Amino acid sequence: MSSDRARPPAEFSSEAVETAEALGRNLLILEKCAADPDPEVLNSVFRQAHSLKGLAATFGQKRLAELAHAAEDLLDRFRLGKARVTPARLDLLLEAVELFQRLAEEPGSAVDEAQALAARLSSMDEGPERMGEDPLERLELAPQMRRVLTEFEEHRLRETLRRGELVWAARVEYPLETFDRELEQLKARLRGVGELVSTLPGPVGDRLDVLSFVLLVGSGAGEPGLRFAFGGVPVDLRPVPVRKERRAGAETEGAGRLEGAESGTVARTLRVDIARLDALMDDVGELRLIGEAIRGLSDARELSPRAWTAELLREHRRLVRRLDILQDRLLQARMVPLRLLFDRMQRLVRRMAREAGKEVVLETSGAEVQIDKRLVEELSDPLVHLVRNAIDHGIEPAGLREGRGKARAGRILLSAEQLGARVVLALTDDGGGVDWARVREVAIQRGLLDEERARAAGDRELQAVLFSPGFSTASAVSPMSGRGVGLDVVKTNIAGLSGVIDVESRPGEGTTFRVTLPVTLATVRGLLVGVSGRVYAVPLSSVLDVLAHDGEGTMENGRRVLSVRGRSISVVSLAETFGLPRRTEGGVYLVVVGVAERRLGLVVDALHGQRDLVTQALGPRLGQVPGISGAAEVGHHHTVLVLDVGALLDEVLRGPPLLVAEA
Amino acid sequence: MSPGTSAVHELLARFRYRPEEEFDALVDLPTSSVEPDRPVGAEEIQLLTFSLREGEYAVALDTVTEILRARPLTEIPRARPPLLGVLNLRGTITPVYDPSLRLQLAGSAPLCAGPDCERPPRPARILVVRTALGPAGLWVDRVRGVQRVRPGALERPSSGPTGGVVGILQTAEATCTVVDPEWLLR
Amino acid sequence: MGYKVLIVEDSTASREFIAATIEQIEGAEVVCAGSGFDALKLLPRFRFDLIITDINMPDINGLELINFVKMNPNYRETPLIIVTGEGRQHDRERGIQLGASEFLIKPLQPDHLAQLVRRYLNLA
Repeated sequence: MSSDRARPPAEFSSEAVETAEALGRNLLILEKCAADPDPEVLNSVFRQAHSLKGLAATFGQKRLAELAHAAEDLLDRFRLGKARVTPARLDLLLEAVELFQRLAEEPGSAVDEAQALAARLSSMDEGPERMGEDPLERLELAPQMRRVLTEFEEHRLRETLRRGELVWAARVEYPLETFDRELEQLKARLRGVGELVSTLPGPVGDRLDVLSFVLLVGSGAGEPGLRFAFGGVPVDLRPVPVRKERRAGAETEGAGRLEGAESGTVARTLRVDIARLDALMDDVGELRLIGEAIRGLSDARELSPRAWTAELLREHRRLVRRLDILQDRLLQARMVPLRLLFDRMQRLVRRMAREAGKEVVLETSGAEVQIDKRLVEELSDPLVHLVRNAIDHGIEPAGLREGRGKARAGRILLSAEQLGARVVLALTDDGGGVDWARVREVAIQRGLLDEERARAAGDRELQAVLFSPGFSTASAVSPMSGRGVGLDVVKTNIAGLSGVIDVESRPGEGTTFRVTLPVTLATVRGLLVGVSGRVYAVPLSSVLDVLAHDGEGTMENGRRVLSVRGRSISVVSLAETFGLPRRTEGGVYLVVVGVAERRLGLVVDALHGQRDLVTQALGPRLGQVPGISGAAEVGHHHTVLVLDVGALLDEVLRGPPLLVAEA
Repeated sequence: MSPGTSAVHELLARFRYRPEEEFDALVDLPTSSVEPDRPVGAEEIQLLTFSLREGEYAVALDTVTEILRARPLTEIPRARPPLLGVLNLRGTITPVYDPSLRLQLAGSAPLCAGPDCERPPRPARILVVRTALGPAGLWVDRVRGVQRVRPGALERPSSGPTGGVVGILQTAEATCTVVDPEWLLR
Repeated sequence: MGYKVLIVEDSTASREFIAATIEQIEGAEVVCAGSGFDALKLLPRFRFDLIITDINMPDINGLELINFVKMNPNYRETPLIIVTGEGRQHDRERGIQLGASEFLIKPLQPDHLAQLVRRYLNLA
């Protein structure tokens, strides 16, 4: 038991994760040819599950081995033609792939789920409808009804269908005071003609005194019989249609998993090119030589003090240079292609689209772009949020799309591009775009903007509203999905990576979210500035200009403005923004920062040079500190804060932050 | 211990309370146990006791991962109390808080971040505790020591905020309020 | 302060246990519902800061309750915590998908429950 919970050795994790990923990709290929599966692919997936099982068994990873075994069995039946490749089974297998990756890293995690999934995989295998399929799949229940059924209720519905009876949906309204008594009576009467399987309460407009109920009743009686059971109560009664043939996008069991479970499956281990490791060994060799040289210096009594010092300095320079190269190489070793992330998004989109009852296709480009491994982990969560956003709120239902002259299936494009020291990730959907009018309304409703400002607000300002904590896109666009998507959380996550996020929307055509990130998380080149005796780091990638500041500038719209190289930019004192005491004498400097088209001049007291900084995020406890994206260590025990240029731009150009540093 | 206490009193006092040396350097708690010869009893819990202003407090020892000498912190601009600043703890940015606010104690937090901060007093320490949201530091005036108690030895608090108080420990010398660090850190 | 917590649970023992645990929290008041129906009646009567609900209940199951709360503009901001027995993973997942914030598995640890509740009431 304890070996099961202990961290497995790195070689195991690495290989297990890679095999699982390959299996996942092949399963997606298999899906495309499910009707007539390619025997090569069938063999590959079987072999991959088989080797995963063996690998797990060898390292004593019992749970993973069990799950792999269950998957292998099912895949074997596919291979031998004993079972059909169905969406339901593929869903389970893909779920298994996710769990493989998690279990490879943390054997103690996902205990319940692994067992349950293995059981489901096995039972999928031998169920009575082995060659048939789940009748519930063909029942055309509205997604919202489907989602609230417990396992037991699903089972009752299946029984109803198996008996050859119909499932009826009846909508009634009752007053709040008496609904329970009325429903009890109704239930009693319905017992005579069928089975009341589920009762779904819903509001009636925003009235508090009346409730609506949608009842699912399984019955073999005809409509007159049912209506009679309802007595004189006005009821909207109709049978739930059952499809004759299977449809590709049908609801399936095995759907639905914690979203949080998806992220965090990126491995903490790395497969590194041997050539890279060899180069690193060379570097170490060089460092040893320098070490020898320094030791030699300690014996060099014949040198004059001056010469000795010169030698020492020379060795020091060599040392620093070697260390720089070593650091660079190590950073390079941490870079992985975005493909891993994109593959996972493929699987996610499949499932989310099905859950939302929509048809969506994900295209990717730039999967070969490399970013720091840690960045990939940290990006996972915000990307999942954005994808969910696009599917739930962006892309319209197929029917509506056709009506608008669009292709039935919505298209999401996930692209990555490397621009110098930055990587730009874009998520574009061809849905309905953001309803800015509604955003305005909600902003007013939630007190994020007052009426006047809301009306005058341009796109940029409304963007800020979209990303603010008080705002939930769910309430703005769809009353159904109760979960707010939390774009503010996405923004915080991205800021924690020293990145910025932007949104662009074309009404009726679609929305694009653009995330700009520095290429390595580990090191950011920063300009150290002094403000009132404190030192802050400004990411060099956002610094456009540095000048001595002499002019006072002019005031425009309540903001100080200066002309810099012929361009008028807003200027703000960091001391003022951060509430620090102002220095009274001495010259000042202006550091001009910018992202995309926006520009801001930061007034600082001193410049302390440029440095390569190893940055860390501030951590979940500190949450969002406005204007700060992280911290870096400079010198011995001296930590400086790294400025969040995007947030400062927001704050100064659009108004005060909605949050201040939470304690 | 005051001289001249009766033998019985001494015995009782020793049973309930053992004073501990002050920690001088970075201490890794799990290895520096007070009584290495006597294993911790089955139901005993170990408490780390400390002073804050005029009061004595304690937290469960297993929530504390380190005790550090108090040192100047990195200031967070526009931070609100009880956040005092942050520490870079071997690569992890750890926020440090002043627990006296939560405990509604008189006096204001020492200025311990930024260029104007004073040298922290010698006995002051930072307790690094493990919480659901990651590590966090508590700035205390002095660490007293480690004490073992049986759960029954703690009394229910009679008055005052009951939110995070796990119990009251009466020792030979003082009344010590045992608190839940998660509650202290909101 | 008067934070109000609604507990929806058809098993009397569980319900009493949860209520007793939460009542220990300073500032928290508890309102109990023995069924989904009762919960529906209680919702408009108080302004709840947190709802704790079981899933498997006879008339309205917990999922339907969560759905009702989240669909309703009057209540949708209220956080929901699910409490279920061990094997009910499918139900738990559905619950989270519908908008519940957390789940707890029986048997419940009083400290864990209290800590969680405190967090959602923004206390402690």
